[in-house]
Amino acid sequence: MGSGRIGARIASSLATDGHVVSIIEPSRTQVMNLPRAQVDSGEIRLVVGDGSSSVSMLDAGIEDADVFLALSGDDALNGLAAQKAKTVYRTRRVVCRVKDEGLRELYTSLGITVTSPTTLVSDVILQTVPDIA
Amino acid sequence: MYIVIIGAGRIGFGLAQSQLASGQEVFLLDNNHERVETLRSTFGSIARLGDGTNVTNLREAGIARAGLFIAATGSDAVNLAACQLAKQVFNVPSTVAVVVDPENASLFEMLGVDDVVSLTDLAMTRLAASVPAHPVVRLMPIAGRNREMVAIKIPAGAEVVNRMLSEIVLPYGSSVILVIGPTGQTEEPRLDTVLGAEDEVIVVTPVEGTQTLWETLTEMP
Repeated sequence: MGSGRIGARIASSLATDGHVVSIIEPSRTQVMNLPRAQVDSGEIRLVVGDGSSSVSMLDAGIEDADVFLALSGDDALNGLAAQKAKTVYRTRRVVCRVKDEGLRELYTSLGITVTSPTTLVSDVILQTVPDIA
Repeated sequence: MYIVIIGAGRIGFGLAQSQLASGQEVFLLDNNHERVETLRSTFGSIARLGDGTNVTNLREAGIARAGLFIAATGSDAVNLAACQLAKQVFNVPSTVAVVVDPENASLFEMLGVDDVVSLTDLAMTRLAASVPAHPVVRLMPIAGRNREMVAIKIPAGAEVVNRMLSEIVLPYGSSVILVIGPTGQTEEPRLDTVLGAEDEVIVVTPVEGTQTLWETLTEMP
């Protein structure tokens, strides 16, 4: 869910590796990020719709999904979609992108795997300059 | 009681007004500057600019001592996240979320929100009630108990007309709480109460029994 730069890149690379990938994008204008060739060829299935509604999730095939990634730029939307995937559709692996630190702690305590590009990037940058870290 | 509300739109504003009038202590958070200013100029310093899903902003609103937390923004996702923070991080005893999408109502309850108010369901109920001769009107959900209060009008010629309540088999767990006659006179139900055509029957029933209840009370011979 979410086809910003991160979602689009992950979708593209998973599809290239031979996985079946569907991507839900709430905003019609954002789909520009997706690799056109892979969408046109059907390698990536695109569903435009509310990222947390069961209509979009079912349309994207959530019932057969092994993994659900909530990667939009909206923390609360990602949290809702991730909890819906886990609770309603029993998706085995659910990952949720969360920027806000308080929400990261909350979702972690609720058993959801969270990831934050900001902290990941900061960690990597700090590792490249070990003297000041 | 100290009540913290996030979302100062029409619902938040109205809530603040009614709760202040009934002597409660109220504080609102909203991310829109104009809405916060409107509240402050109307009621004094009971509102501030902030994000209802941010722990620091919630703490500054005094959520730690709140007895009730109400999430009434226009976003279901924000309302869920805020209620979960209120519950998990600040141990607020009671949380209420407003939802626009009715399918979120049961999910939010499952995820620990104490009470969920579905705007769409409320509008549908109200609209259904204003359509004449609509057979079942959902009056009120009984929060957290999987029951609802419904009103069903007995059509003329139905099988239950002129039968006593004790003769009618209702779904398990249902109880008739009031019978209203065609002219509006109310009758407390007893085993020997006889149902008449056009009587309105108010029943508290398990949600899954509503359909059977309606069939029983409206079935033609």
